[in-house]
Amino acid sequence: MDNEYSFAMERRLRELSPELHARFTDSVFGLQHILSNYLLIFPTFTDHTELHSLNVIDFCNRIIGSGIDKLNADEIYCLLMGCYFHDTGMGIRKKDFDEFSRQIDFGDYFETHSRDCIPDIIRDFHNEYSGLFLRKYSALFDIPSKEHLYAIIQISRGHRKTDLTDEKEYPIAMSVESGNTICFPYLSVLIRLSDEIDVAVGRNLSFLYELDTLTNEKDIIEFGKHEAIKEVEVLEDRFVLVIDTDDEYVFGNIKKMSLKMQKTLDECRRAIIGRTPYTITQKTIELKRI
Amino acid sequence: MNITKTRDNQTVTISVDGRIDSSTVPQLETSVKSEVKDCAKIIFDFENLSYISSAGLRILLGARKIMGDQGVKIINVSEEVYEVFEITGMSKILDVETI
Repeated sequence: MDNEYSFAMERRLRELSPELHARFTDSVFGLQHILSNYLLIFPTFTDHTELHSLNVIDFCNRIIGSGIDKLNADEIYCLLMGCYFHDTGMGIRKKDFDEFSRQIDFGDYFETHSRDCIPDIIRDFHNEYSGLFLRKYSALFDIPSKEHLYAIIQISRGHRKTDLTDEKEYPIAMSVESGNTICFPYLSVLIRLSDEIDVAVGRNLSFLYELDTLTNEKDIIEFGKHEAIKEVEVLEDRFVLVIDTDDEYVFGNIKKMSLKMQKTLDECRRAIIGRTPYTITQKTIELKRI
Repeated sequence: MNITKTRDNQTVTISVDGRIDSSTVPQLETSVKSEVKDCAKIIFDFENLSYISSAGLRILLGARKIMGDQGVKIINVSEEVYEVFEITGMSKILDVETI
């Protein structure tokens, strides 16, 4: 994945605010081992480490494209931090799980799910656990203000199952000390979409994951889809999944997944277009079989 | 992109010429895969590397995950390529030496 927009956010942040850029790179260093903790709970899951974060950042850069100049330093800092923090909830310790679970509104979830299956609970609410992880451990990452912390928490939570049109939780312009404003819905949408389209074979490096040893049906399907998707192209008006498989079962699963992705894309567009100064130019998810 | 490998006991040096980008990353991934389990250290010599993409950084980070902090070293990195390590924060994680 390389294009004219590669590393655009990182470059722009260093140019606009060397201080915020330094805080960001220090956080990357601090997070490197924390992000691998998900493997203790989900040893056969697709990659959720900093390698996934790099892909999410790369997709954000491509979706933002020439719109990078509209983002201010505080927005770029919060977005980059969100790209790294959005999945930290996947690797929390049991002690934190117990503590955070007391603060999460699970709604009617436990009417149909067991309280004993902790990995399922974490997977289904990991965005909320990520937010609570950030709140508890924010001092480790030298986040400049409580406003920035709130923005990063909300953006991280916003990558799943959260109403981005709720203006109280997702303000369109929250002011920070520098005088800049942060547009929560747009930054959340960027992570949600980038996370959703990180489905190509490159997500799971072949020397880190032993695909032959998988036994769980769900994991086999997930990795099978990733194996068949050779690339995700980000074009001006659409996302294209480039697929190489003769297996109709795998192709059928990719088709189903693409419908879910289209729904997410539609929701994301609705959350920002006309409500914020930003837009997402991609309208559709397409499949290209090679 | 052209890759050459040399071995000195338990250390493998992978020299890369050209660009590490989406079209060449699979070649580097294959190269690393064939070495990570059979050596104690991988040195990436980037003297003739002109560009590294985000996907390329992932290969280096992935190798470090298997080999450990002391198991991966990147040498002879040009100023232009080092900028990528610097702006992404990877210069604080990976052992990178400039020319």
